[in-house]
Amino acid sequence: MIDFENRIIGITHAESSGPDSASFIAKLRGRQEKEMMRKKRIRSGFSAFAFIFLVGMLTTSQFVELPKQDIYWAEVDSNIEYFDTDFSTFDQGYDTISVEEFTLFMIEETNIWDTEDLIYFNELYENTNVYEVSL
Amino acid sequence: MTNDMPEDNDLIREFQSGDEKSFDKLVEKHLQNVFGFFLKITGDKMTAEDLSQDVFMKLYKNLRNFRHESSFSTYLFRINTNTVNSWITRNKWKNILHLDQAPERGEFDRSTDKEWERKELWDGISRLPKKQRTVVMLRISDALSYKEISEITGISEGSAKVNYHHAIKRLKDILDND
Repeated sequence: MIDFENRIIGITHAESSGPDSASFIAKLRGRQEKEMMRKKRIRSGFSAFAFIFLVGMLTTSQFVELPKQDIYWAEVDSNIEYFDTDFSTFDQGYDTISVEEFTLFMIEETNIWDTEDLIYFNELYENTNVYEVSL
Repeated sequence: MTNDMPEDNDLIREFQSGDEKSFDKLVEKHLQNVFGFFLKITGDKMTAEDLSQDVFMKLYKNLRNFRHESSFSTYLFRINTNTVNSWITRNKWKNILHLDQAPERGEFDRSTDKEWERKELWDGISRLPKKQRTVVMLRISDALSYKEISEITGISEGSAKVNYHHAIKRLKDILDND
């Protein structure tokens, strides 16, 4: 066993001068510098991530949830007059306005079919009246 | 440890109080021993230097927390063995040994034959269990006593002897069979 031990000690025997201590220390300092830079980068990356995360959290926490309600136009209480025409005037003064005037107005408004109906109904009315009078 | 000088502790205290130059002095003082330890194991100057750098980097990081409870050289040996063990487990062995490219045995060139033996031996050592490997490395590379080995590894003297005995027996088998 001792022979074997001596043999392996002989095998591992290595004679070599070590590295120059000054250049070794310089390399070591360079490595330390690199390590410090790497740590700094990791730290600043982490703090940037934390900042973005914080800003994101603060922003999302300020969002207010909108009420989920379907709005239909029919329910909208509005004072808007969609058809701002002289119809209103006509409604109010039905008794005073003459049929001819109204017919002219309808023609001007190009509602030709309505006008036609109106003339027809007017004639019918007049005829009925004449018939009633004759009775 | 016997070779521990009181100066080490002084340098460490100075470093701990913020004097960076003391660390350089400490490196200068122990560089040859650390480098020699790794050179015997790796047989490669570059790798030995890299591992020595690793050791002093670890030392720089941890020396501020050194509490002077054990001697500095024991502490340094612990870092050495941990570094070499992690290097072995990282399978760097394969890269450095290039066993597939080992020279043919039986040639007349004695230096080549010795190199082949050396590679084969360290391949065998790398295959040993961690405890046995550590004891063998400390015994072979620095010829440390069992007492010193027990201080470094934290095992008893008897256990160090037993581990060494088993390791040598196993190494003999490996080398004889190869």
